[in-house]
Amino acid sequence: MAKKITGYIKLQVPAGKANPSPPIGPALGQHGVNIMEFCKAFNARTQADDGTITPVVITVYADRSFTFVTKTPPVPVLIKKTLGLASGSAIPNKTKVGKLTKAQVEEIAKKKMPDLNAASIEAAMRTVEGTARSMGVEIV
Amino acid sequence: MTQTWIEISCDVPADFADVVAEFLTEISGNGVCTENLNVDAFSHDEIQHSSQVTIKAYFPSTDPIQTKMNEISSFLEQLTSQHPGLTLPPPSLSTVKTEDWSSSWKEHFKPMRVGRRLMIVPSWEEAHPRPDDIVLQLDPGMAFGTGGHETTRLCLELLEEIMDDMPTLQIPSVLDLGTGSGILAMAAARLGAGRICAVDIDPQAVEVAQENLAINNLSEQVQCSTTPLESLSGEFDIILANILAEELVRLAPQIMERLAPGGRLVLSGILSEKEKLVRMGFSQQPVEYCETRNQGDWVALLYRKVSL
Repeated sequence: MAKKITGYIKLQVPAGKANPSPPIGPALGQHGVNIMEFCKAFNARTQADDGTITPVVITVYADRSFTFVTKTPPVPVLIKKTLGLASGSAIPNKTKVGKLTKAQVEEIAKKKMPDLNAASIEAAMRTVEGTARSMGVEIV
Repeated sequence: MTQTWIEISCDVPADFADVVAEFLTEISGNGVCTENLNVDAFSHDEIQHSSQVTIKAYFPSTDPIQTKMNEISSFLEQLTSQHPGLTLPPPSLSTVKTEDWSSSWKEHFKPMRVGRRLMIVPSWEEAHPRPDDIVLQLDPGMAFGTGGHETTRLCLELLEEIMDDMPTLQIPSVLDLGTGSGILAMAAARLGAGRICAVDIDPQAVEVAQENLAINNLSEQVQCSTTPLESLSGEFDIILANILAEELVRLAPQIMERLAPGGRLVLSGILSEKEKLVRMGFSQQPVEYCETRNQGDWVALLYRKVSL
């Protein structure tokens, strides 16, 4: 079909728990797409990762049909998962909440590589390190 | 009572989107919207992303909003103090117009009349067809072809006219190339076609089309699959191809192989400025041009295969 794209939406929502309330409702509602169909399909596809914050990109076409793709969890979520943290630091430059080794940074960078605009693994690692520092996580 | 929501938005450079999104997700508990663009493109590569993004988080109005705002402001201040040169505007706050998002999108989809007799009706609407109307039940979803787009409507109109012009005894076979939601194949079945084959390279579209065929009790009549065009066999009296101009030209020789002598070919998904490209692309093929049909910025072309 002649698919002309009219809308592009990026959300980060808990896996398996999509519902029509915000942020999904207002974001998709603005484009007039079938919100219930999105929620049903997203929940079915992400059920296994129950609750993990999952980035999703929704493409809306000229006749208000749509498709979506889910991405790997955001870097901060992967950092927290690696360190077993509940949350990042509220005062990242003063209170440090954990330490990430270079090997752990590389592992996260590799996992996230397909979704990052990084030219090399080194560039992806620098992105991960920058994010870690912003969360109050030291690199050792 | 319907819940009122407060939207808090933060404008940040794209490089900091993940960190801010994560913080806002943590304190809102229900996720964030990190980008929402109105675009005019044919592929993701054409979409222009800004280096600055607006992250939006939502809170029930019953939440302690001022406390949340303070937490966000102090997080943004921390971020700027950590990254010299980074300046971030303070977060902004607005009330979201309350609506029932689970059903408000339905406003965009009403029963549609296409051509002389075709009606496309969403499942939640009641159809009021005339005696000779053909009703197709179709809900918008994850495949192109809701009936709302010009390219689909042009195909439906031409298909109906071709079928109506057929001699009464001829039961034509139809190939729907790039079926999407299956709408054209369903219309062909209801208009009286015989063998119908609907294909799409997107497995998700095929899944949606199969569901729509089942809802309309047409699963037996329409063969729907991801079979590539080059692997199809036999000839068809009517081929409907609503794809895009460049793809139509690329597929021209393969399309011709499947079109029966004297058969009709409807090419759609063509922007007006691309009409010449497609006509050039088919000028070397054994078809005679019949007509161009316009709607908005789009055209559909009708051809007839010459009998050798």
